[in-house]
Amino acid sequence: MFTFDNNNAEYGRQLAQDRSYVSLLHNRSFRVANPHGMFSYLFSIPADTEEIILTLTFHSLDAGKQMILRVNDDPKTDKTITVEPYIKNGFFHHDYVLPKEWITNKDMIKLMFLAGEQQGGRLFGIGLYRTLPI
Amino acid sequence: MNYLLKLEPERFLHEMYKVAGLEPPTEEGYQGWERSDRVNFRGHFFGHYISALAQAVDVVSDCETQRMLMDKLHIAIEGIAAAQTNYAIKHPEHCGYVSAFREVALDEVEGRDVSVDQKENVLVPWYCLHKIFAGLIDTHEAVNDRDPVLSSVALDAASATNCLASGFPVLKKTLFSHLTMKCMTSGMASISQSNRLTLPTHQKVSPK
Repeated sequence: MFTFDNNNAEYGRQLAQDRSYVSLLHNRSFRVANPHGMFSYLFSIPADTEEIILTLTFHSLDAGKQMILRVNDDPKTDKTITVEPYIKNGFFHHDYVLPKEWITNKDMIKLMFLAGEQQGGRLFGIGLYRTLPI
Repeated sequence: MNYLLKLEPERFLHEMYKVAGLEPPTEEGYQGWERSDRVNFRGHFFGHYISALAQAVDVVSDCETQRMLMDKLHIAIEGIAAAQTNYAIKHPEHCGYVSAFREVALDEVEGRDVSVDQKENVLVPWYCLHKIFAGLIDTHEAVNDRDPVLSSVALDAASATNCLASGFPVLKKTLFSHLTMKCMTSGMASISQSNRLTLPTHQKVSPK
């Protein structure tokens, strides 16, 4: 999911959102949740997938911003994501290996991003890959 | 590799979005053969670029570079799919069409009368379209293992060309001959036999 258009590309992934918006930075689209805002998408899981690596794309300008990742509407899965650039200026990636129980025997996975008291980090890409290196 | 990373798929998508009735993601597209204001090859370079990204992903060993390439590949393929979807919504009788130039350029090749003010100044429109679809098929084949969802989006976008193929004899001779050859290794043959070559699932989204 790399096209944040508030239109067919996002609604094709069943976008749900509250207090979030889309815009561009360096010609690349992003979605960001305002304070107490959220947005989510549904992704299909191909058959026979044993492992998924979630790769999120951020920009170094958002260093220190935080958001919560919630999977399949289950608060027990909540994981705080802090934007921690490993480059000085530009886009970079955070990888997370999703636990098998979240994907095994499932057709879909829902990823929700929630902001806290502050605006979350701008999300420029959500990659779901089956192998490492991606 | 640096050249591939320097180019922006969003700028390649500029003309394609305009044709599809979407707001372009950038203020301007690329010039040179991708330009729209003079004689051009719009879409041709973009197609080669997609193929190059797909092939580079497979050979690069550095993880970060691979991620950046995949980001760009996602943007390109998802952008094409978004343009194709919107075009299908606006022109359901021509669903499947996705290009950086209007269909009138193909009419001209087919010998239909096109007024001077409607001409797109595309030198070889089928050739340009072929490059886009070759890029989609290359992506489908290159990323199927690591990213089957993106691979599927690319294949669906390429497959949707069947929707408009019947009206264009030239298309059958050029574009589909390429696709048919690729079918042997990509699984397109089984898909075409199952009549899946209609509006792809990702195009069934209602416009907002």
